Amino acid sequence: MGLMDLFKKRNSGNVAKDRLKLVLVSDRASCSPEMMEKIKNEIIDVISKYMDIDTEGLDIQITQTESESDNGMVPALCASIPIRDIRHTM
Amino acid sequence: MIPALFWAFLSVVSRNNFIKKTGKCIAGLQRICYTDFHRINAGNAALWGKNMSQPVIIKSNKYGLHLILDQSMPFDQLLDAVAGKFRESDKFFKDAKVAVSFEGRNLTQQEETMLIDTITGNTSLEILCVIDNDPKQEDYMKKQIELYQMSIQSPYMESGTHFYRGTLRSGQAIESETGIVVVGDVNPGASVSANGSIVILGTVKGNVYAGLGGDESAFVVALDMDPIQIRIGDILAKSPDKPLRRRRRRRSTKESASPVPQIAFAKDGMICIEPLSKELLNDI
Amino acid sequence: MSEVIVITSGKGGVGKTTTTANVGTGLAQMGKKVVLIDTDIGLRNLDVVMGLENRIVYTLVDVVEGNCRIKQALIKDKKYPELYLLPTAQTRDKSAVSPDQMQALIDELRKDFDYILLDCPAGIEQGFKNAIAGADRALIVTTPEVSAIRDADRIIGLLEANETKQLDLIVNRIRMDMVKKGDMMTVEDVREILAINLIGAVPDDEHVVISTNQGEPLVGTDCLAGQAYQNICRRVLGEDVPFLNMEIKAGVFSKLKNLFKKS
Repeated sequence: MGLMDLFKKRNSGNVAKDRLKLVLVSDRASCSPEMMEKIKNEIIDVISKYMDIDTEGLDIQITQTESESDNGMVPALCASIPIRDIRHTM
Repeated sequence: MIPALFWAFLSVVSRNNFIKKTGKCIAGLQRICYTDFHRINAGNAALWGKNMSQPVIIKSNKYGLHLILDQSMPFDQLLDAVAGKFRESDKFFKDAKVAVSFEGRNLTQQEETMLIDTITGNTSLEILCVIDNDPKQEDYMKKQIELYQMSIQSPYMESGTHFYRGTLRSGQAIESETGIVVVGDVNPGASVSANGSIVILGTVKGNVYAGLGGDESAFVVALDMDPIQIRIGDILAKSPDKPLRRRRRRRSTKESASPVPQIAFAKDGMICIEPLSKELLNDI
Repeated sequence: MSEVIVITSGKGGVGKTTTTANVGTGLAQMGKKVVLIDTDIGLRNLDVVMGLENRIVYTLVDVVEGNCRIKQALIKDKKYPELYLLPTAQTRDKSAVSPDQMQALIDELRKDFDYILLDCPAGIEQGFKNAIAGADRALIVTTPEVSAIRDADRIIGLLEANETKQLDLIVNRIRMDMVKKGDMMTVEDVREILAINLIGAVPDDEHVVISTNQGEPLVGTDCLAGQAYQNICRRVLGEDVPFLNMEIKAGVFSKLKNLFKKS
C-alpha cells in the first residue's frame, strides 16, 4: 500500500477490477436463501444444546476474507450469535 | 343495378310515410325477418282452419303480410272486416315494419290505398311497401332481396374481410381465412397472411402472404410497399439482396413527400409490383 | 468429426450474434462446412446480420415441429456455398423447443457439417438451456465491463455444471485508447478474473457497425476487427496464432503527440 496504489485507484479500470473480484467471490459462493435458513436453524439446534442463545439476534452471512495461504480473498461463513447464558446443566 | 331491378316489382303506394327509396325499403324489409314471424304464422293457421269463408285471411311470409281477400263481398264491407281483423291482431303485430301483398281481388289504386289506410289506422304497423302478387315476380324479388342481404353482410370486396387497426411489430402475425385490411404499418419481422387479398394502409416492411390457399388472383396493396418477402399464391418473392436500392428508394420517397401506393399481383409466375392505377385495378 | 460450438454471454448486447456471424463466415472461408443456428426464438437477429432475412421460408421451429425437412429450412449464404443458416421463428417463444429436440436436431446436422455454431439468447433461462444442450464447446463473449464479466462468470459456472468440454473466452469491444488511460480493464484483467482460456480479443471497431448495417460479416477484411475475427477462427481450428496488436494505426499527428507524451 504505497503511493503508487493510491495513484492506481484513480483509474476506473482498476476500480472495476477490484469491485468485480469482490462481487464474483460472493456470487460464486452464494447459496439459496432456503439453504441459509437451514444452516441457521441447524446452528441454533446445535449451540442451544450447550448455551442459551438469542435466536432473534442471530445473523449468518457469507462474506470474504483474506486467505492465509495468500491466494487473495476467499469466501467465509460468518455467524454472529449472541449468548444469553452458558448452561451448566450439561 | 339491384335497386333498379327491384324498383320494377314494387308498386309503392303514394303515402307520405311510405319510403320511396328502394334502398331504404329493402332495409326495412330485411328487418321484417326479425319480427314476430312465427307467432303471426301460428295465429293465422288457427284462423285459416276455423273458417274457410272468411272475408279476409292474413298470412305472413318472410317479407311481411299477405292478405287473401274475399272476391264477392262489397268493398266497404270488406274494409270493415279488414279493420276488425287487424284490431284483433294488433297485439301480435306491435309496431313491426312490413311489406303487404294482396290476393283474391283486383284492386284499384284507390282501393289499395284505402286498405292500407285501414290497416295502419287500426294497428301500430308501419307499411313500407305493397308487393304485387305474382309468383314469378315474387321468386325474382326474393332472389334480389337475398342477394342484397348477402351484400349487407359482406359490405367489403371479399366476404368476411378482417380489419386490423394498429402497427404490426416484429414477432406479431395476423392471419385470415379471407382478406385483411391493415390500417397501420407492418414492420420488419411481422407478417400478414390471408387466403384472400391484403390491403395495407401504411408501410409494409415485413412479410405479406396473400392467396395462401394458392389463389394467384389475390393481390396486395400498400401505401408504401417495401416488404422483406411477398407471396401471392405459391409464388414467393424476396426483397433485393443489396440494401442499396432500398436506401435509394427511401431517400426518393422523402424527396417526393409521400410514397406512391403500389399493388403487387401475380403474373406469369412472377410477382409484379406497380403503382396503383385505375386501369390496373380494372384488369384485376 | 464435427464440432458443435455455442456462442454465449449471459448479458445481452455484448456481440454474440456478431461473433457467431463472423466466426461462422471465417470458418467457411477456410473451407469448412458450417451451419449457423439462431436459437433466440422470438428475437431473431442472426439472419439480418448475415443479410439473409429475405430468404426465410421455414424456421428452426418448423423443423422441430415437423412442418418441413431440415434441408428445406437451411438457407445458403450469398457468398460461401458451404455456409448455411438455420433461422429461428420470430412469432414464437422459447418454449416452442426443448433441449432434447435441440439435441436431436444437432445430431442430425452433425452428419453434414464440420462446424455447427449456435447463437445463444441472452439470459440463463429456457433458451440458454436449449442452446447449450448439445454443445461440445463454448465461446464466451464478454466486454471489459463489470456487468458483462459478472454475467459471463455465471455462464461459465453453468457451462461447467453442464459438462461442456471446452470453454474459451472472447473479449469484445476493447477500446485501446481507454485501456491506455487506465479507464478500461485490459484483456489480461478479464482473463485473469474469469480464469478460462482466452481465444480472442476484438477491438471496438466502427467497421463492425457498418458491416452489420450491410448484412455482410467483416471477418478477413482489412480492418482490426476483421483480422481479430479471422485469428479467432484460426485458433478455433487449433492453430497457434499470436494475439493482434490492437494499436489503432495512428495518424501522424497523434504519433507526434505520443512522442511528446513519452519524452
